Amino acid sequence: MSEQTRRRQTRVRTIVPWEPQDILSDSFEKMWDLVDGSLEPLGEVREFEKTVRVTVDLPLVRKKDIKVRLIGDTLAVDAELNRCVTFNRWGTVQKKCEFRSFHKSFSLPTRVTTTGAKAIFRKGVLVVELPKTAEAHEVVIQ
Amino acid sequence: MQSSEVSMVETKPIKHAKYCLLGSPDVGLVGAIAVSFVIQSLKMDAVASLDSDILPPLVVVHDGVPQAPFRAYAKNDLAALISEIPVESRAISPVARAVVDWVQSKNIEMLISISGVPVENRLDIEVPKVYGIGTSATMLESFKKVGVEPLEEGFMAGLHAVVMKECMKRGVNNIVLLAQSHLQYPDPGAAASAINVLNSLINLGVDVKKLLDEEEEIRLKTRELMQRTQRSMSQMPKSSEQEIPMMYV
Repeated sequence: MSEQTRRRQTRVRTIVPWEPQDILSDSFEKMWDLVDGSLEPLGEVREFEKTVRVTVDLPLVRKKDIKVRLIGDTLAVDAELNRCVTFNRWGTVQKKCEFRSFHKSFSLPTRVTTTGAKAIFRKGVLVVELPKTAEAHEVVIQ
Repeated sequence: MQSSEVSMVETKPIKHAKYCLLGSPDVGLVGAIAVSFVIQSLKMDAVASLDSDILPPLVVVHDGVPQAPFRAYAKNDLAALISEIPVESRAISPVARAVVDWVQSKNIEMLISISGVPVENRLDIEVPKVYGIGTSATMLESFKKVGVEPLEEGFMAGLHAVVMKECMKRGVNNIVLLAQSHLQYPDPGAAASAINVLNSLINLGVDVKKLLDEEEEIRLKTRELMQRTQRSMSQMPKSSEQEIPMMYV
């Protein structure tokens, strides 16, 4: 047995094969709702010292068709697509489906206010900057 | 041609190719979008697929035809390797070895990996820049001729990093093209920049107009893949790519 073959066989024993339980831990959630005809957009929430920034990717959307609402500690983003998107050969069994809008509610990590909030929509990406409302309480060092 | 735990199964064996592209879902899906667009534009033929017990047990069905998610294509002097699913962290090393085994077996002169480098101000950038990393110093010169900035300091993580290490061990020529991109949104604009560099570097001859025209539709249709890729990338030290490496250790 050559040294190279030996090394490869050693490697084989260290490889963990794909396990069926992996599919159970697959927490992938669907990003569409056939009943509403809505799609979930990609987005992220980032917390900074004084603000919380929510960024949402909204392709095929016009600025005038976006609605952003602060509801408690959630930011709801709704947007109409500029045309109905049809997937003709989509999914395993569903042959045809149509989507008309995006919808997603983002849980915010802290309390924010719409006073002084800013939102821009550029190149199909919405960026919402929300000031935090939580008051800072200074801790006195003795 | 075969690595012990992962192998390329050839359905239409090729003897040789001059260049081979490699793209898989990672930062901004840049490599996957770019290589997929090149394969479609040049109407390349499927020639092989990757087989392994360590990859998820699934097939992709296109036009009613079941296919492995990681496949090789070829046409004339060009080969291309593409994955339709992110390569999980634990599969990266054996997959990288199998890729380089196949590249060596075809006497490919240069393996060109395509990926993205995330930039915070992507929205301010009209035409993303492309950075390059090469396994030999002579490649730096060819980068400069086509307007690619050599990446002088930094980390690279994931499949392309392991492929590059394997190429360095075996003396295989490999360059990695990294286009400025969104980290977690699909970025066809970045893929177009990478293809334009390939047009200059290896006379690829692929017009990116259609890719740019359909940019928003591609972004919409690749949301799920991007989300899955994002989860896969969180298992890798991708955050290292934002760090400055220590010097002269």
